[in-house]
Order: sequence, then structure tokens, then C-alpha cells
Amino acid sequence: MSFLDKSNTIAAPGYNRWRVPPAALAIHLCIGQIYAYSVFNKPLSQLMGITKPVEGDWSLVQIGYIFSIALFCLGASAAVFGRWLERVGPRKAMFVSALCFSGGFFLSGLGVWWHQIWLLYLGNGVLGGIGLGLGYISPVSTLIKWFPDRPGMATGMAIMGFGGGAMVAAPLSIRLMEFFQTPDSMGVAETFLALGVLYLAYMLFGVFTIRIPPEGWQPSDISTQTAQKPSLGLDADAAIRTPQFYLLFAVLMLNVSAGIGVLGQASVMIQEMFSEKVLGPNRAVSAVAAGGFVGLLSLFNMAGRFFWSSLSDKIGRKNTYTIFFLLGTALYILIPLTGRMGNIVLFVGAFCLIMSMYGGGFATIPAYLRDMFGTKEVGAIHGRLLLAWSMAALLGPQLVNNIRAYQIETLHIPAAEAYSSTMYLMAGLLALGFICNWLIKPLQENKQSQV
Amino acid sequence: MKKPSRVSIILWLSWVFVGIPTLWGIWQTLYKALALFGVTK
Repeated sequence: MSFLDKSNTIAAPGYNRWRVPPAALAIHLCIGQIYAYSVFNKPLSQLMGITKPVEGDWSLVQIGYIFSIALFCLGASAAVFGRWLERVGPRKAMFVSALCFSGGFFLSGLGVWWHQIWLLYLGNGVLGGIGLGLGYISPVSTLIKWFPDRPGMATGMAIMGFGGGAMVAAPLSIRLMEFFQTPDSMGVAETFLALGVLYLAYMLFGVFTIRIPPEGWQPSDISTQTAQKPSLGLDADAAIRTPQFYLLFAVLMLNVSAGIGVLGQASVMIQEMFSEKVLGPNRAVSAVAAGGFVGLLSLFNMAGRFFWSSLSDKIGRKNTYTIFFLLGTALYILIPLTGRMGNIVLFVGAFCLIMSMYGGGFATIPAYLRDMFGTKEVGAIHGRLLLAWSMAALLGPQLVNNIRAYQIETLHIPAAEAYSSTMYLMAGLLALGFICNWLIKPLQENKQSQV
Repeated sequence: MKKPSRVSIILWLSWVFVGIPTLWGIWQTLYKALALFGVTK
């Protein structure tokens, strides 16, 4: 297996660096599937009843744990294995990621067959989550090293793939389930097996084609002046002892919490804020149109990952996050007003912009870390920072759901108005993020004297 | 005309390999999103 060794991954002289982004995309397009996992919720909840859930079928709460476990394991594995990735190189890490991610589907397929949900927790949850964590950070740290002149754009490309992965996985999974469905089976187990094979093949393409640049490599097609010089090359242990790391942690967590909290509620929110009661029968938003709204948000989420991270190469990471937080705060305050005005165009526009900045926050953070701590162990540092994502993914939706439930059930506020305080809370989170981002100072100022 | 080198063919094939599913996914989502404007059902 020496093929997987770091020494065998070093690119030969004259290697075209534009061959690396497809390798990164091949991984991220696959692992992005996790965001489309909800397409399995209904079929998994009626495996025995087929047409409707019956006694013995898994509840939606039980099924929901699979996603939560996967996201937790994503953050945990990225944090734990980050330094291992830096030591062994991206190819071995991506190979393990491919085995874990596809292996998770095989194990879950067996779990569906034998109707043992713990196999799904172990498969798509734990194994899949480890595959997600390793697969997420490996190509990103490699791309940062290949594109010292445009680190934001390079990582934006890969992380855009993660957003695109869900767009591919959702229709693909639905088609596969339709194909394998029989009168006695939902076709989920077969779909899991097919996805496992497909994802393994696709991710192995990334494994085979990934290369790392030789030590001290600089791109020949740019002048050395345009290469953005990173600050000190700190290792992961040193980086997490700096206040900058925790401020960046807070920046990511607050940006993600504000976005992810409303993302899961988007379909219900637009239907309740622009319901028949509010707008009249002809202008109310239907369930189909609400589904279209969610699709539109996914597109902006994906596009924002590339757009904002590329823009950050021009205007700087701190300025980019300043835009996210200031504009995001203003938009969240504006949204309840759009509901009261019955202005659906403004509502949709505001949310599309918010979602683009939510995606942009994910894609810009690796380049921010690279600017702050250098490329030495940027993958490991990024891995540790991703715990912020796991925390936000668990906390954000809980926050939104509980506030909404409290307002409707305890305060008896109409459903259409119940979102106002949620929006103001999200605006508050982003305002807090603005302060954290504002407090971030370059590392040289307080660290150089210690080095 | 200059013949494309082996490296550039591999480069293009790599981008096509990841580009096709990406574009398919975008198209599927865009088609769904058009329902918001009443274009699709």
C-alpha cells in the first residue's frame, strides 16, 4: 500500500495544479450527501408497513439520531485525526475516508435488511461521520498549499462541492429507491448498497488523482508578489492556545448557527408567513412552491461558497466576515417586516442572500485559518475548528424549534408571527459574531515576541 | 493546429468527470426551485 504514502503523492515537476480541484470535488460531492439524508426519513419510518408506519417501525426521532451522530462524528474525527492527516498526507486520509463513508452505507444496508437501527447508527452515523470528517479536511488543506495566490477561491471550489453533493444525492437516492422498490420492500437497503458502491468508486478517483506540492513549491504562472503570504506557521497545538483560534471558533459557530437554524424551517416558515390567512387564497404559498424555495436556498448556499470565498481573496477574510455579520443582521431584522408587508419577493431575496453568506462562511474559514496560522498544519487546525460546526448543527435547530414552540404553545402567538423573535435572535447571534470577528487581530502582534 | 497534450486531456476529463454530476444536481434543484415561481409543478 506504499501507493498511499505521502512520499508517493508528491507531484512531479511541471504538474498542472488545476488537476487537484477535481480530486477534491470528487470527495466533497460524495460526502455532501449527508445534507440530503432526510430523503430517507419517510422510507425508513415505514420499512415494515410499506404504505404507512406500523408498530415496530422506527420513529422519525430514532431516525433523526443518525444525522446527529454523523455530524458529531464529523467534527470529532476532523479534530482527532487532523494531525494524523498532516503526517500521512491527503491520499491515505482520503482512502480511509472513502472506506468509512462507503462502508457506512454497506453496514446501514444490512441494518435495514435485518431491521436493526443500531447498525445504521454505527454505519451512516459513526463510520459515515468519520468518513465525512476526514474527507472534508483532507482536500481543503491540500488545495490551500496548491493555491497560495488564491486560497479562498481554491477551498471555495471544494466546499462548494459539499453543498452540491446534497443536490446530487437527493434526486439520485429518490430515483434509486423508486427503481428498487417492490410491493414488499421500500428499496432502501438496495439503494444504500448501490450508493456505497457509487461513492466508493467516485471517491477513489479523488484518492488516485490527489497530489501534494513539493516543499517550497510556488506556482509558475504567478509572480511571487501576488502570492498571499501567510503569517507564522503554527502547529495545531500551538494554534489552539491562541485567542485568535477561539475567536474564529466563535465566528464560525455563530455564522453557522444563524443559518442552519432557519434552513431546516424554511419550508414551513414561508408557508406560515405567507399563508391563506395572511395573503388570501390566490397568493398563498403552496407546499410545492415552498419546496421550490428550499431548492433555491440550496443553490444560493452552494454558489455563495464559491463567490464569497473568491471575493475574500480580493477584500480579505476579516472584511468578508464583516459583510456577513452586518448584512446578515440587517436582513434578519428586515425579514419579519417583509412578512407583515406581504412582500414575498423581498422575503425570498433576503433569505437567498443569507444562505449565500451561510455557505460563504464555511468556505472562507480555511483561508482565514491559513492567513492566521500558516499552512504548516492548517488541516489539523481546520479539523479542530469544525467542532464549531458540529455544535452549531446540534444547537441551532434546537434553538429555533424550541423558541417557536414556546411562542405558539405557551404564549399563543399566531404561527405567522412566531418567527419574528427567532429572526431577531438570529440577528443577535450575527451581531455577536461581528464583535468576535472585529476582535481578531493578526497573530504577529502578540505572538512574534514569543517565537 | 497544436495537438492537445496528454496532461491537458486528463485535466479536461477530470473536470468533466466531476462536472457532469454537479450540473445534473444543479439542474434538478433549479427545476424544483422553479416551482416557487409557478413555472414547474
